[in-house]
Amino acid sequence: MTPVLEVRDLTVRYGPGCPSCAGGPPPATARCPACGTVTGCHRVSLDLAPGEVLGIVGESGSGKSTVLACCNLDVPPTSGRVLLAGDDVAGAEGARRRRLRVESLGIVYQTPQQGLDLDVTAGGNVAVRLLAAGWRRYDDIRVRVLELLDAVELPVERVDVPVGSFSGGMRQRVQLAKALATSPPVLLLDEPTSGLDVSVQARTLDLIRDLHERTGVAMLVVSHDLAVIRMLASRLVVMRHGRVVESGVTDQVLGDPQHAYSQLLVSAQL
Amino acid sequence: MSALVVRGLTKTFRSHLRGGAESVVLRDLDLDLAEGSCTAVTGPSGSGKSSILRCIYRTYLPDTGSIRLHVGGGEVDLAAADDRTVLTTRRERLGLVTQFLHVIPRRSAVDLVAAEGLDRGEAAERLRRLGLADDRLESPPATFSGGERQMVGVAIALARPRPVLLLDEPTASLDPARRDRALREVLRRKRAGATLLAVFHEVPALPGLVDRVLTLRDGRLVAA
Repeated sequence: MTPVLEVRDLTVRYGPGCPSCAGGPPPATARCPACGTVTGCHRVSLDLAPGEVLGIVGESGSGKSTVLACCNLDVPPTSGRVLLAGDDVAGAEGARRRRLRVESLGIVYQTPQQGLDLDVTAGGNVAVRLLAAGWRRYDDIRVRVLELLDAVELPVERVDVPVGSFSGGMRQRVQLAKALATSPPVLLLDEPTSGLDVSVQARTLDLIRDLHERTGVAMLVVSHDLAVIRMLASRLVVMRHGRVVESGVTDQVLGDPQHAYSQLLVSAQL
Repeated sequence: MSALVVRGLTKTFRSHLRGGAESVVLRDLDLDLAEGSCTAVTGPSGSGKSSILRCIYRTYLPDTGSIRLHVGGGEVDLAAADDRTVLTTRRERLGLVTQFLHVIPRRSAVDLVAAEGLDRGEAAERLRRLGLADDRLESPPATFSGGERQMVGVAIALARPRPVLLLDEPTASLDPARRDRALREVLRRKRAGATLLAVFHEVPALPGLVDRVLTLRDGRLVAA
């Protein structure tokens, strides 16, 4: 089966690069001591089958968000490929990039400001995506927006309230409604519950599971929180200093981690 | 015919956090499970009983050896299978009951069992048969006692008719009456043709359940 999302030998470097870092960053850092180039990620490969949930874990600076940003076509790779349903889309620009982001991808950012306009109403934020997808009739858009807000458990009477007055958990739910508005085959989640308090975090995670079961959307979840990954992902990759150091079935990597860094990560869990 | 054949299974834990310290839990272990049989494994705590089940279920990665599953579809070597094959095999052919249930916030006991492909009425009936009180059915197991959680865990693992079941002290947290109920449910699955490998602290006396008892000595299984 063709993966809905595939990343092959993805490398992102910020800086000029030099012979000493061209073959990858030095082992214990992402920054080249010779030329100062920072490697966001180095030769990362992963793939996501339809309906599958893959987690990426790693500490801050491990490169997990860089991989996600490449998948979302925010960052062009230095080398390597990003394929959506088999088509190489790395470096897509202009109308093609906009179309891919509306039809093939949805994203939930860690900070709602990245994904939403806080001065605009909940309904308006979601409608923006439908308009980008070519929806034109006001009544159709209104019906779809209300349906989406209901699906993410937001009170529909808040549809005309600016998102800026919403709580953190509610803002994340608006982001989910917006991301899923066009029924994309791939949903990217970047630390979707960091910054939420524990009870809201549980509710949001449960909602994400629910939406996954109902829509069958494939998900790539980036998190530094192993509990989040355990609850959502069936497979996971562990990243450090821009490289994938281990991958496998989630309960195997968490139950019998092989790499020194994965062992550290698992043992550091509360 | 054998439902599951293990050959030369060795499992070592290497802790990089303790300077690469190694401990060998399973050493060149062989095991044959006849189709429709129930094998019980006993032995002291920490002897590695659960590690056998976890290697078969692939929660642990074996160092060497093969774990060939022959029932419920084509032959699969779980020691060498890729991640997706492991996940498919678990879903369709290989069940695991553990002492601990990872609960999901907000999901009720009935929902968790129904998620295994049963309708809600049937899911509730299974939980009642195990002895879960009616007023608990619609509550999330996050609020349950250890024993109640174990009942939910057993109901989840037995919900699909998987041909091989791994049971890791499936009744450890249950009172004697509920232990009998759970064992009778397991026996029901055996009579329907399932092959069972179970770790027990104390081998249950329920007639017809356990066919042979093995014990773990120096990382290998021998007759108890």
